[in-house]
Amino acid sequence: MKKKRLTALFLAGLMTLSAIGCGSGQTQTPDTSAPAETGSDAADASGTESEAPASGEQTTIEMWYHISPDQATVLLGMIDEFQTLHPDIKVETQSVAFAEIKKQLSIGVAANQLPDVTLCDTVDNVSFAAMGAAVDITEEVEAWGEIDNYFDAPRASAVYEDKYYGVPYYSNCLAIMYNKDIFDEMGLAYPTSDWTWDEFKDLVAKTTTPDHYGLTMSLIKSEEGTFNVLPFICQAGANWDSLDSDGAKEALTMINDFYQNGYMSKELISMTQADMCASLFATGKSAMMVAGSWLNTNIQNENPDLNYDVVLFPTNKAATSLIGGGNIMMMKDEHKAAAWELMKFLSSKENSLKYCEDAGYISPRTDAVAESTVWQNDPILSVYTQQLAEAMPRGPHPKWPEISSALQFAYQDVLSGTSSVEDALNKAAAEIEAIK
Amino acid sequence: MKMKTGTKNTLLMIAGIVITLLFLFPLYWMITTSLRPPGETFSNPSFFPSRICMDSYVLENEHGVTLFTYLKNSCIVSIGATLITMALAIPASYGLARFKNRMISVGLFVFLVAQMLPSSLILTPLFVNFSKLGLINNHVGVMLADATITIPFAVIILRTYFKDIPKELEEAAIIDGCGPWKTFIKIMVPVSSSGIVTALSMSLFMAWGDMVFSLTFLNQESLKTLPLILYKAMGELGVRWEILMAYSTVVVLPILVIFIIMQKYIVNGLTAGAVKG
Amino acid sequence: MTVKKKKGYFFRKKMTFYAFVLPGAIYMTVMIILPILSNVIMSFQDVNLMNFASGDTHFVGLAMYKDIFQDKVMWTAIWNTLWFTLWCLIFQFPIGFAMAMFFSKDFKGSRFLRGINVIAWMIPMVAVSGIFKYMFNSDIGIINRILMDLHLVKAPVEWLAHGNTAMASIIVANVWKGVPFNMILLATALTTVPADVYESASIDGASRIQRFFYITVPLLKPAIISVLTLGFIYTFKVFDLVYVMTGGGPGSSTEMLSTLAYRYSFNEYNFSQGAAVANVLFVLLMLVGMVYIRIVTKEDDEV
Repeated sequence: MKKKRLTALFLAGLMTLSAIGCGSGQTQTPDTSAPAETGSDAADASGTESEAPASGEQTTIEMWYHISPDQATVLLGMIDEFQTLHPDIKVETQSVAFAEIKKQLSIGVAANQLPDVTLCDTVDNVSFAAMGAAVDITEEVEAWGEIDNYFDAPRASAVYEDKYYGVPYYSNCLAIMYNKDIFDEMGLAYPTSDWTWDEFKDLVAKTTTPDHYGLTMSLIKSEEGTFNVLPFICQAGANWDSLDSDGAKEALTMINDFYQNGYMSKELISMTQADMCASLFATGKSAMMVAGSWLNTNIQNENPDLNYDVVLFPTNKAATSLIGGGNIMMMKDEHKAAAWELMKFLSSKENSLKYCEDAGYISPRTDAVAESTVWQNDPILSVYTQQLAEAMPRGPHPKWPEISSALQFAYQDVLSGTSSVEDALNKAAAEIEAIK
Repeated sequence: MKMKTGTKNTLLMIAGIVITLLFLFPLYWMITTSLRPPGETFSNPSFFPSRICMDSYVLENEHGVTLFTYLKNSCIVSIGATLITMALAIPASYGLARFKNRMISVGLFVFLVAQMLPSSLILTPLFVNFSKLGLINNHVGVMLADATITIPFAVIILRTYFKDIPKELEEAAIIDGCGPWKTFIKIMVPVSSSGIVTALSMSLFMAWGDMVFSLTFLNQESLKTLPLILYKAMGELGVRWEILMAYSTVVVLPILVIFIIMQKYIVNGLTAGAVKG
Repeated sequence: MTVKKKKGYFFRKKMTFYAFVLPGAIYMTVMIILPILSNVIMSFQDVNLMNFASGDTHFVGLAMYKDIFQDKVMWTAIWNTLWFTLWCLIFQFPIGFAMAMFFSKDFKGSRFLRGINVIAWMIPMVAVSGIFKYMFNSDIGIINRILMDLHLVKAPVEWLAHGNTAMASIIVANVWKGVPFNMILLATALTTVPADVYESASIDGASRIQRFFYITVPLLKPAIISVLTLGFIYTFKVFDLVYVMTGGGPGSSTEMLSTLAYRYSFNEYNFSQGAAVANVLFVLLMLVGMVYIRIVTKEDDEV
């Protein structure tokens, strides 16, 4: 054993040297040159999926995903089913941390080491398309003939310069969840779908007591924070390309007032949506929460006894929410047919319905939504289906990561007291203007 | 030095214990938090768990990869990196300690510069080269990368060590007709064994704790190491502190155990390293 | 000068020296120096995700450096990195020194206790970050609880929510990990101070403080300088801790050069900008590193 490893090491060392010498001489054979020992480690794990040796030509494709372990169970089950249906295709899956998938894909591009298929955040689809990293699948999508069954906003997130670079996989949007018990205790009426910003502000202030905060929303310095903050900016009639407008200032001022007045926890500045849901809303420490439908599942896991409901966003100029979710992208055209086969399989009406229902999302397919009893009738999810109709896409813009980052700095600088609302938003607007 | 009087000795000892307990409080907090019943961490913490609960240690994941696999992976990577380190650093530090000419500055320079480099900055170039060699999703890749951190450190410790060994030992060996390699293996290595144990343990710990390289080079679940799943858990479990602290405890525990067993040798090696002979 | 002649008596042949040193040196060159060079080259080009794989990159001279220095966040990052390093050293060095002095006293268990404290240095950074992030939590963190029990603060401090307190939190975490490193290296040096120096000093009637400043410190000067420079280097290149604990936030209040470089490269896919920031970090480190290299090589001449 030891001897073998040492040999492998020396080989690796020699190869490093030779690679430096001869540049791109051996780009195409990544996996075969892996030393035998780690190869067998890999076999340990993948061996559980199918022991059958490859008879004839078996294509192996690789898929990455960034969804949580709970949500991945159904996906992995479907992939097993897919492999039974297509014995000639073997799918290897890799789970990448949500925060890491962009980095992994970007260095994957740099090193020409990409999965065949990957899930990504909807907002990143266009970035990867613009960079030439995602594969153009327009022909396949058109031949498939199912793309007209998708909602417009999710579909737009997969289109760059009139070409398809992905297929929407799941959709979601935000609305406001509220803790009914807290409202009952305080003798307040539940919010209704026609509530206004003034009523919203009033309720946030009123429901703040030493026992609980009025509102919870993610203010973290990442796309999750953008996803939570931007809807309010849109509701006030602005958007990412008009951050220096009065509407944007009104929205950020409101959020900042909530934060500085102690209506929201100061920890929110570093909390993801899952974190804030688990520690604040699910434990009854917050009367209201800006939340997506999937957090429903989290609450069921954390505290099934919580008595809560959901309501559309309050109206200022509008009651806008933003579309979130994930797309499936093809990153390599080496096994295009097999990869597309998998993408089609996962995106079928039945599978889309099954996955999205289980994971607490909404299907991006109109026909799946129409068929589902859950999204029409479930007291919580039906509200999200309704909110989705009023939702706008984020971007899409090939440089969305930079735009989003400018907005994140703006609200974090304001909340941490480094900058005034006015200055922060003007600065962000100028930066975004330069990016455009 | 003469022994202090009894009372003073006891007082100093008590003070020493108090300082140590205060200083290592974060570790106490990590372990006790991991033993709290679920939900207890959401409220104001008491210094002791209300009851001992091992629930947090049921660390599952969707791939059916067990904790044992992660533990094994961490062992493979850190032992591999340590072997590379020892194989390269021991002779190099001996050479650097004994040879005198301009080359020594160049050689030393290389190792010292290497030590100054934040590992996150060589990620992209390394990734590009490693992927050409099939070293992505391969423990060897992480070992090779980890060794870039551990080698300079080991060289710095061991060089001082070799320098302090009296030259008479070698002279005697030469008179006996030993060549440089034979002298090195038969005499220098055994004589400096305590320094080598120190460098070895430090390399082991450093490689064990690496997150940046394994995060970048390992995606396949069955290959991941302990610090990686701790990091991933922090993203997924966020505020379930009792579970996160259980993960942390699992990452830290092997180091803790090895360190406590070996501490006399490790610390002696560290302290003796700079003593001039 | 006869001594000098005697030096190097052993490796008469250059080849022997090379045989010992070269494998390691080549390894480090391949794994470290070449990546550094490739970073330098990259910083003079316009490498992004679009052209990285195709190799269709262009030489843009100093444009990337101009870009990064025009961005205010770069200056913030330089300032933060220096500020962070300064405070870490201000705390970890004296605490480490004090602990080294204390545990060098001859009492029962002193060696064992000193050894046990070194554990903090061995804990993986990702675990340290997690533990301290939990302890600094404003609602349920133990630090706020202790401060409130001791009536040092009236209301919970939101450590990670404000710029200054977030910086303080990462400094505390880093100091905790850094103290044993200072302690053990200084303890090493303390053992070299001959006891009779103290004895003659106490006969001369020097007080403890006098003895410390007039005898201990000057005798330990080389060790002190090398501990401080090494400490500087390790602190200045901090990454994991900030990445996990604050992500550089809130806003850019704990953004360091290393996290900024990482963000440019892997979040905004601007590899050239990332490389440029990395090189600035590296040059700054080298300036201090030179001091350290001087010490190490000078020590050499004295042997």
